[in-house]
Amino acid sequence: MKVALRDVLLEDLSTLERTQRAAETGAKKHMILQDHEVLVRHNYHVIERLLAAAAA
Amino acid sequence: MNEQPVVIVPARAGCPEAVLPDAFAALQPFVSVWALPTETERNIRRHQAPMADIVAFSDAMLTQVDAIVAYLNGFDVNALPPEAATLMQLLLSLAEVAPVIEFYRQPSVVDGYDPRRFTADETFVMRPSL
Repeated sequence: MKVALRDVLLEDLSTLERTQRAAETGAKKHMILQDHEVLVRHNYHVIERLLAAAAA
Repeated sequence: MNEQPVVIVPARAGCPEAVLPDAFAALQPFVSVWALPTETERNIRRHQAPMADIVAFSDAMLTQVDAIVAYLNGFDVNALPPEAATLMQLLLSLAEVAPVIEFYRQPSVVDGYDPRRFTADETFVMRPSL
């Protein structure tokens, strides 16, 4: 189980640095997150909530 | 890409070869190669071993895997006798090479991230004491 999970992560991580480099060019102003990326979406949701609470 | 090469860890010199429980003595030829105590060592071995050796190890293990699991289930995983611990390490190496056989048909993840840059935590609290 752990080996299978790690190998899948190695597949996903292979795009990470390329995605980051592309994002840092600023060519795209936003990124659409599909429904399966709920953890990433929730992360941004919580960050926004904390920032809003701090600003209030 | 800033990929780093796979680091090959040399075999531990001076250690007598571990032995298996009598019922699994037929697997003894694989002990020196595949009975490794850490995930990192097993992963390095997977990437170091020729494909034919991985297939031979997997084929040999799969003929006895049900008996191996049944045997190991008789012990506390954190208090395995030395012979059973060696057998457990072989079983974990079988898990390590399972994606090689079943998914990738090659040792490494196809177009994957360098596994040496994704370091295993060998001190994790749920890790069995092997």
